Amino acid sequence: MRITQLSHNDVAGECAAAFERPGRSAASVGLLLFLAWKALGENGLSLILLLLAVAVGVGFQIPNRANLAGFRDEIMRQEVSSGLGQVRVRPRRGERFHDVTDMMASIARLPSVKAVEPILVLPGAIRSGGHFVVLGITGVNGSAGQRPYERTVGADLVPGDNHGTVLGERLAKKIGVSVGDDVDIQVLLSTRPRLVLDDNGMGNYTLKVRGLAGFAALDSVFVDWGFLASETGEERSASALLVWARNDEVEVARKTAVSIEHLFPAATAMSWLDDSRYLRSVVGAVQALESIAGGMSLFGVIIPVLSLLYIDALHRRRQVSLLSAIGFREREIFLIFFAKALIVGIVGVLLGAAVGWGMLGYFNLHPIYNYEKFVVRPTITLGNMLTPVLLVLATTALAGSLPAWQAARVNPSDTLRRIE
Amino acid sequence: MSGGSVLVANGLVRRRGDKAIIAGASLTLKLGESVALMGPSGCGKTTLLHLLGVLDRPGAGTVLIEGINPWSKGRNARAALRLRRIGFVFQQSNLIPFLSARDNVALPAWRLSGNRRFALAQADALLDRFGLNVQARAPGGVLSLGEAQRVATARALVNRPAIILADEPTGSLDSAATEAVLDSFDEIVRGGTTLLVATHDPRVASRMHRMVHMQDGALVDQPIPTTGFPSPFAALKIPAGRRP
Repeated sequence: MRITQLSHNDVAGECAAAFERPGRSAASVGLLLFLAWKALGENGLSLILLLLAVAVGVGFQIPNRANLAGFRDEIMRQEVSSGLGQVRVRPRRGERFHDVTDMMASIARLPSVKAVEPILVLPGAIRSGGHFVVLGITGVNGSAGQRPYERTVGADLVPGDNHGTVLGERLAKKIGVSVGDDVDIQVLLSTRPRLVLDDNGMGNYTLKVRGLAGFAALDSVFVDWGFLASETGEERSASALLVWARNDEVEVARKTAVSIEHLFPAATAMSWLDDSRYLRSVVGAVQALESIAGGMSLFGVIIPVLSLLYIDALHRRRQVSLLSAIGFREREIFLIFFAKALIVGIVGVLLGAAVGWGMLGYFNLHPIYNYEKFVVRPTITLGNMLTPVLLVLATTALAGSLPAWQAARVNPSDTLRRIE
Repeated sequence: MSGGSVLVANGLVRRRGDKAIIAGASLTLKLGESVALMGPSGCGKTTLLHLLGVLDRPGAGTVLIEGINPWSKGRNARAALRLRRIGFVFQQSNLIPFLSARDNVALPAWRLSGNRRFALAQADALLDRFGLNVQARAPGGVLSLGEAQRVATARALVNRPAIILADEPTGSLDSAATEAVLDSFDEIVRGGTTLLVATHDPRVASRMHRMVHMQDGALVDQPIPTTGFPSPFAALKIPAGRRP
């Protein structure tokens, strides 16, 4: 046969050998990727639109997730880590525990507990100049490593500080005082008759403002717990015990709460999520926003990718039929079109991740929220980067699989019969 | 294979709706013979080629390719049969437009062997033989119709099939391009490959060993028309009685 003698000399032996061997039962990955790549390159505009759809989806999702996570983390830091802790323990009956020494020691021994501190909250008022505000006066342990506020200005309370106070920033502004100024504080120490009468159970003090506290304590007044408790006549009394766990996981907090209630049936212990409707609402809202924004961006990817690849598959029915006539299997035709979607997905998410990374840098320098020491910066974690990347990649693959299936199901005989 | 027959079709029927496009067509193609399939437009020539090429399933009747009934096999086996034993040349839009002429020709060989270097060497050899090496790097979509048909012919040949089925391969070509394609068909037949060409063109039919005519969905043998064009058998000096 003359045609068989046409090969170049140096490959003639290889050619003959290749035809004598059985041949591959399935197309090589290289061939399928080659066809997918070449087909993608045929229409530059379509390729750019596909890549843009994917890249914008990822580029939007990464900073969006990171900013929402940053908001949640800041809330958690202010309200929990630098606030009232992960578990709050209160007396089941009455206003306060009369002696928390043993309770604190027992709770501190729980493996999930990092720190436990008392607070004593009494009704009172603060006055400076012509300003007068009724509020709760909170006694905090001056020697504690963990405090239920974040100091932003000045110094902190120290143990045995009978003459100092820390005020919330907004309250200080409201009554016109700053660090170093004196303020008058009245505290309702007891509603019951006392042995030593002192203005019907009221304590009146002039205290020096040592420092100011931020977000979660903007309207609060803090004094030394030892000082305040001794003024009530019960030196180890506390309205509540604040427990800091080793992490913010709500399940850890809930288990710790159960352990504490088991140890002290006369006390109620609640995790931060169960104790604060505000935190529960915030966490729920952040999750909802994450889901809605994530869903929207996935739809923003799936619709154009699906449309463009579907139109592409329709446009290529004759080419698919030619491949089928040549001897490509349906599965291989599916894989060619699916590989196109994967190439678009991979290149698109890489571009999107680069854009997202750049936006994270921008939002880190220019936080989306910055007010009264509450600053929302993006939380950059591997999860916050990878989740949008993988979700968009999976969405692109999913969007590409329908057109690929459509292409694989083309009837070559019907298509090739038509003159185009 | 039965008695040197590459393809045996018997009593093929194909309906579209209520209409029988193919109604009991039977045909036997022997090794190395060329056959013209003639008939008016819409008579079912393309449908018959698709049935014979295992692109479409007959409603009744059988097709045996080298003694094997492809419809008794799975889809992958039929795809493998098309890859190894059947080559197609269609009327137009024959090439994958985003691939170069060289890649178009190499495609079936790459698919079969899994070796791109080998496939490209095969393609280069065929393009060279058909005088298309200048156009080898050009995308399939920019070739002239005649060039594209010759590239398609080379592609049909690259895996050395037993049969080539050509559907109106010169239908859109001018005289010079038609001659070039017919010359390439002569090469195919001289190489021992069986060729079935659906055509309206008596010039094409005159270059074949024999001719069948499609009539009412069935096939009848007809004598080769005399067109004044030289017969390939004259050039080959094959006596009429010894033609396959």
